[in-house]
Amino acid sequence: MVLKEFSLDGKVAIVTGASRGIGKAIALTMAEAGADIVVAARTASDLEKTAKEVRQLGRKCLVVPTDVTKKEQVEKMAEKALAEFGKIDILVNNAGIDIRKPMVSTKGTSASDDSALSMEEWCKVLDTNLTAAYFCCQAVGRHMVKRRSGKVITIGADEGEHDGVNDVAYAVSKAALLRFTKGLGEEWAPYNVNVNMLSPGLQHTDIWKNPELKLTPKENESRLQKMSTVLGRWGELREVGVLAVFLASDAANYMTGEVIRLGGSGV
Amino acid sequence: MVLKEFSLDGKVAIVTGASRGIGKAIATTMAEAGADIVAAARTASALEQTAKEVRKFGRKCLVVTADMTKMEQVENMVNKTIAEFGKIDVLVNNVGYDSEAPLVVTGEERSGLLPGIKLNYKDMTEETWRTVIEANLGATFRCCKAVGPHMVKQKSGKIINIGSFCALLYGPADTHYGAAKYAINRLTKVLALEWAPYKINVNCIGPGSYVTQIRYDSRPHMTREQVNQVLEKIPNAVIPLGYHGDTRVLGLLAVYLASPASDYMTGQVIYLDGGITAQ
Repeated sequence: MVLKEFSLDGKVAIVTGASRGIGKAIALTMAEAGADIVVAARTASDLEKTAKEVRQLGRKCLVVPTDVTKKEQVEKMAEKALAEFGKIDILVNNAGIDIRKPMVSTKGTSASDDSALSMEEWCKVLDTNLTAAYFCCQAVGRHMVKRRSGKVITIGADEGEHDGVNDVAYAVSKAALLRFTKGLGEEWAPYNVNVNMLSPGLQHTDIWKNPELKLTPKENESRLQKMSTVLGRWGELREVGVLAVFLASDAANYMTGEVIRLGGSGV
Repeated sequence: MVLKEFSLDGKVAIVTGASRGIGKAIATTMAEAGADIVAAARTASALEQTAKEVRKFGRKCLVVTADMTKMEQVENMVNKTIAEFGKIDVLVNNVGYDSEAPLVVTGEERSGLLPGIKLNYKDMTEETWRTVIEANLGATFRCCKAVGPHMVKQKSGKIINIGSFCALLYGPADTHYGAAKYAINRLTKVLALEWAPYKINVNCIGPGSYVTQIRYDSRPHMTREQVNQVLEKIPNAVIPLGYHGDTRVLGLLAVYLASPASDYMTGQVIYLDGGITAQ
């Protein structure tokens, strides 16, 4: 007996960064819960795979190639979603990148080199993880605020609240996104638009395989060791998906400006 | 009898945004405590008053013009400091900027403190968003990045970031400013951890409510008179101790954080706000 509040029947959800990993898992789980999906990411071919699986679940899927760091493209994405479905119920700000480098060169000289985070890398991480959320929330929020209904989800990270050594751009961008989520939750409360952050914990996705990510097997292991004091395992992407469904559903109508964490990092 | 650990004798401190307000108070108080000062901001003329007061304490003041949102200018500021003083003991990342804007203006926005008036907000523009993020978070990041290698080589240094009570408490139309200030808290902690092996202390001061120019500049949707009315109401409505702070107290806390007295403190965010964030 599944409580009706958990259903996403009749809903339309936009998911950014939906080609793989957490974004794909959220798109598919929401589709399984009844929602039609708009998938956005930079390349259409990657998105088509997600779209195929959404359609296999009997739901519609609109593919919109979008660079979420470009305001005009994000506005077009929202326009296309509205043109296709007439409404947007849910926005999942999932697109994100991680560039793990120390703040200054570990070679101990005053000249910066490739081993240290560059300004371009800092800007790229901030733009993708934070500024893109502002673009998406504003473009979609216009519609949700006018309609006085909507569910916005941002994706957080443990590093937004703990540690973050040699990962400063990612940690800082996720922290900024957390406060942005809370602020927007308050700002849109009068209009019945809920804004919450889902912090997925340790998930084994491609963000770990990023070539700029200089994570040695030893660092990986030590990271897992740290988590093992609580739950001792990586998360399952579906576990993120079902939480996203909860936050997008009527069951979460009284929740806003919240941060919900998987993986035990809140301990 | 002033305990010697509180002295800044022989220290060199860079203070950004030192022309007025909190930056000026920190620069002059640090000078009073014995430090030579590098006063940096975008225009030299605005820095002259601060430089004058620093020199009145018998300290040196190097005036440097720099836009902290531009890395080349930040690096130039650091190079000039090293050329003049040979070292950097303290960096105070005080540059900041705010301009209230809702993401989506509905026309229903109302002031909690001035009920009944209509607020002439404009939608958040990309320019406003970027300027607020860059002037607060970006500037802090760039200065840390430019100064860091010198402090690492020295195996000593004190970085003091300036946050805000807004990091923790929502205010109207401040999703960008709140995000930037909260991110500065995070930056403080990550750098404190990353640079602890080099004995560099990184802490953050979170000011509460002080009557400085930013309180007016951040409200383009209000008249000066309306801002004055808001400022008049804030102490009773928002501040447990019941009054706006005097910027000197921020100077005193900054002196503590720049001095040997705080050598064992790192990664901390200290709110100096008359109790606002305790609520």
